[in-house]
Amino acid sequence: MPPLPRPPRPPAAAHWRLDPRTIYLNHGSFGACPAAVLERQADYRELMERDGVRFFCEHMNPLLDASRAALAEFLGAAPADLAFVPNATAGVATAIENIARGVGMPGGRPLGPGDELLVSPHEYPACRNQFRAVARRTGCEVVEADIPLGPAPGEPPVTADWIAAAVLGAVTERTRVALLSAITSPTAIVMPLDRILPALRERGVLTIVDGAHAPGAIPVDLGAMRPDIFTANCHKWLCGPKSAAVLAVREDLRPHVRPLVLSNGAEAPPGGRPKFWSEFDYVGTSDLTPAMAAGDAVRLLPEIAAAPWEAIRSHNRDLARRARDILSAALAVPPPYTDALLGPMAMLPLPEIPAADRARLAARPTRYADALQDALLDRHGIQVPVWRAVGAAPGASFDGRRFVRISAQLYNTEAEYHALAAALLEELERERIRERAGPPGVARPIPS
Amino acid sequence: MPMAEPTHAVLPRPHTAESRPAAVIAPPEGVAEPAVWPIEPGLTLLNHGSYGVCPEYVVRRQAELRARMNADAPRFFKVELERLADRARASLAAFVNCPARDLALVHNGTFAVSTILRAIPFRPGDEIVITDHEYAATTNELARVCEQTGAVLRTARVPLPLAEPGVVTRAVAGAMSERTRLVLVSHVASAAGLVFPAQEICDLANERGVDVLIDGAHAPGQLPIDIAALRPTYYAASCHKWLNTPKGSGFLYVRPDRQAMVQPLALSCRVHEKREDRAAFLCDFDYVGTGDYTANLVIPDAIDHLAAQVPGGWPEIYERNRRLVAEGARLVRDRCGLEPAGPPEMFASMQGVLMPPLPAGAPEPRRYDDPLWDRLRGEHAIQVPVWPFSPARARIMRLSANLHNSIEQFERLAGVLHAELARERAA
Repeated sequence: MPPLPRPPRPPAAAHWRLDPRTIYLNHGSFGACPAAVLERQADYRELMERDGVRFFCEHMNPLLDASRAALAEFLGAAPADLAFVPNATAGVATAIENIARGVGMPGGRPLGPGDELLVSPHEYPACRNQFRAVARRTGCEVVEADIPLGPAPGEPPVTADWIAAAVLGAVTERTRVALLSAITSPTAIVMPLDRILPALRERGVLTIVDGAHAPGAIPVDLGAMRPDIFTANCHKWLCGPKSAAVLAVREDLRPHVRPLVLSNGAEAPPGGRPKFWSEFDYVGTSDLTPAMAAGDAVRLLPEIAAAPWEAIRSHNRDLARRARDILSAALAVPPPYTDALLGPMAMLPLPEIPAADRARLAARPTRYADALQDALLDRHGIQVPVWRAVGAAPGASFDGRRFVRISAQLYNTEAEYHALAAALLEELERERIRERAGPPGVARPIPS
Repeated sequence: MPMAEPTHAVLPRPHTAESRPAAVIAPPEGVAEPAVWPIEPGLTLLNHGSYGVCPEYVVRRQAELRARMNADAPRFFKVELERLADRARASLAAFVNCPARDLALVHNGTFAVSTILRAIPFRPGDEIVITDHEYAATTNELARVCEQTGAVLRTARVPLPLAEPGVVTRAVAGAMSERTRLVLVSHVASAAGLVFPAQEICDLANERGVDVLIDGAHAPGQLPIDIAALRPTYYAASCHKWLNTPKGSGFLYVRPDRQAMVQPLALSCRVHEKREDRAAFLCDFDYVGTGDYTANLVIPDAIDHLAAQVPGGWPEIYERNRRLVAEGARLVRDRCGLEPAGPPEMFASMQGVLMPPLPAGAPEPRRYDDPLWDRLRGEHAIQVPVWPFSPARARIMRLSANLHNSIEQFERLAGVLHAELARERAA
């Protein structure tokens, strides 16, 4: 069946260079950079190739500092608080590796047996991988807070209170570090950090806030949030180029925090610049133009939207909520979380697969995490992530369940989510009826 | 909320638009596109070595990939990235003569060296042998590794001017002991531009059963690399220098029996997923979180584009650059009465020239590492590095030659430098 014509994009979409064939409902995973920001980055890159020596010796610091100032203001921080890292994954890895060798620890002692690192299944897998690697190496233990993926059947949606209680209930006197997303990646929950962080601080637990999805999605005020270490991507909801992210470290810890890779800026900071900047900003020759253009994105997105950031954020949040409701009604699945936990993304569990079909459906070839995502892309031109809860996911009723996470950005419309709802219903029906009869199909190659 | 139409407003640019320099050498007939180097017009760039220059063709290929990345990022990162990384790796593997599966693509040589230094489980008392020509980033990372693990650094002294390559091998051999756990030596020493005897050093380490890491930051594209013949345990390199890829491009070769030990310093969300069809070493390094990987993905385009510029391909590029910088350095030395950092056979596309010490009372450098460097760039639009080296030999000037350079540029430098040195003495 030929795909239906895609719903028209709104005028703002002309600022992006998205694949015209695709209904793009996954801003959250990798972001999308508008042409105006890419052009600004191209200017920096051209400058870099004209005289690379001069660029790295003379232009680099002023350009990074200008971007840093814009980002600091946007995040409610001082420029001195911020250094650049390649992405939030590297930011979290930097944080836990430094804590592992004693930074911020009682008496400066390294992590070791008896210490606990608090995470939850909602945290990003890369960061959980890094935490597990540190635990293996140091002998400490990773503890998972029991935040449910959703309510039990018939129960009301999960609330901020529930989540705060789950996190704080997992804290023991051995808890040294807690990793908390500002917005969780797999489940798109805006975490109630305003309740959780003060309580953790009071109990002497170091906090790493993974703000991978936060800047541009929700208001971020680091001065009020006061995490010990914060990291955030600028390529997602801030719409900067990829490879732009920041790391913020509590002032008294800053002199002790070192990058994963040391470069030639480690010894003598040129011109009296803080070592925190000189060590993190330049880690061997690399393309720093994404970090330089991230500050431009702070200014350019409101120009594109002809509206301030607050209006962009509420537009996206409202659209995500309506989108969730469209899917929820179409699939007859209640929303798992209260509206207060929503940002510009929403996660919805898909209807339960009968136990007899799970293995067959899970075994289908996929280029993503589940063949349903391939089908949505190949047959309907819809790019949206689908994944499965496996094994130890909390809430036994969610074992084997699949989830879809939608994003809402200025270039999306409500009609696109109606198209997704229709496509999901069709594909779920196809899974139930048609595919049960025959062998699994082979994923079609993507036209390049 | 109201949505504005695109305005296509002209953004303030950080520099003025100027005409492009033309290709410096005429490529053989039938070449699709001559190399155009986007170097500032009027600039005498005799420092290809520090950061490289990326020809416009390669910049454009990268822009094409970046457009694909921004058109449908999930497809790019989940479906295309692996294929594109394999394409880059295949090309690179042929270029450095090793199996593609043993190559990880990384941002630069510094990342590659650090990745290895932090992966090796050093124990207190283990010794790491280096030379006193190793790069500052390397020695900084080594200082941290030694502090954290209790390993001890042994530095082989290689004084300048260097008489012959055997001096390096003997110095390294002399610094080794039965406690040596790793030998780390540059293939091309950064400051002096000297090609070190990597083969002899690898042979020496292999004979003694010691792991060896060759820091080839400056090597790919400057001289042939044959990893199968060298037999290093690890080889770290940047590609944005002499392979002319965009900045942020490099590789790490790891001998198969060491690959299980080596992981990226920041683990990704895919690192726990083991696949039957693909080695964990490749999966782990090909994606380390969302970032711009396109500089590495156009390695084949850079290799092919450059090779097409001269009839003899890369061997001819090596030879041309070696001859040009040798002739240029001789002009500069003869005119100014200076000495080379080593014998002619120890240079490839870069040559270190030993400079007179900085006179007492000379001004502090403002922009670069030496007031002379400041003046050459600021007053004469010549970009060439002058930096401090060992206490015995106060300063080195390092000259580079690539296809965008000409002998006239070295002649110009010789005249300017002669006058500047006289000015320095008189001041």
